[in-house]
Amino acid sequence: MDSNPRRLLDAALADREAFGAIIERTEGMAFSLAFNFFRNRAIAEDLVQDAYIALFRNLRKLESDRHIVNWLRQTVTRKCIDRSRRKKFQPHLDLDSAREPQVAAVEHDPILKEELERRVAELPAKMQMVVILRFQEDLKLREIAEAMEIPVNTVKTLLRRALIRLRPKVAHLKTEVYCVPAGQ
Amino acid sequence: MYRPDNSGLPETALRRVLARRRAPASLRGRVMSSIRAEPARPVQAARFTWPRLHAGWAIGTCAAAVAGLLALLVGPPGQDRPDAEAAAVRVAELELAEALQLAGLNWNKAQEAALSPIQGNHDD
Repeated sequence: MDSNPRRLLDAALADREAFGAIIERTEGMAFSLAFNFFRNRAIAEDLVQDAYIALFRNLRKLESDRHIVNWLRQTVTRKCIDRSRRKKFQPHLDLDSAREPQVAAVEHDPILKEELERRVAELPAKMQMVVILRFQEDLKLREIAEAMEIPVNTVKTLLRRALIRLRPKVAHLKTEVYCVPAGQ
Repeated sequence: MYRPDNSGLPETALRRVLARRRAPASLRGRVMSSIRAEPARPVQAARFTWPRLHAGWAIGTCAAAVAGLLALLVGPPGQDRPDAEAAAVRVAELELAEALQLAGLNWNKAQEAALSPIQGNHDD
């Protein structure tokens, strides 16, 4: 049993090629966060690349391997919000990105799915990020607060407001989807 | 036949829409290229140049502020100067007079000694 809590970190410090193991374990999370936020594959890739370079520069500062995911999640979250503030980004669905294979690739209702993606993208940046961290990463409120560096009560408020905004739209869409015959 | 929809809540639909995606295959190669291009970073001791400089500025500013405040409260420093200067001048004048007097006495003594006849020659 390996007792070194910095096994991955030390390996990457000793040999840069070992950094690949860190990417392999975390790239799905990092890319999905950025992609779900911007709905743009190129921007998501650029942002994740920057986050990994920042991680590499901070390998010595991390306490253990267990902190890698949290550190990366926090960095990607911060970079997403910063970038959306710096340049008023208009979210859009590019056709290449829209058909990216998913882990849970069960598309029950394509219309509902696309409409909901659009509605989530229209939320204010922080509200959107709270929703993504909650439903993509399945994080607890406290963990979301840590990732976004905001108070837990703010997370609660943002999440409640986001769901209030989305709920009637989803309900409305559901009634429409029920009326769409399969195969059309 | 209609498509069934099991998402009873927006939360369920959101989980499906925001499910994790597989990162593009090219991403890892791209990141690794950047990592390989990163310059080596030697381990450096922590430096506190900026905080120290900031502290120096802060102390300097505080000292200047206190000095200015004291100057305002106490008043201009040259106010007592005329009396002090006059006293000093008086002391200097007295000293000078004494020195001249002493020098005059000495001069007179020296002159008397030079002009007085030599006792020995007179006796011869």
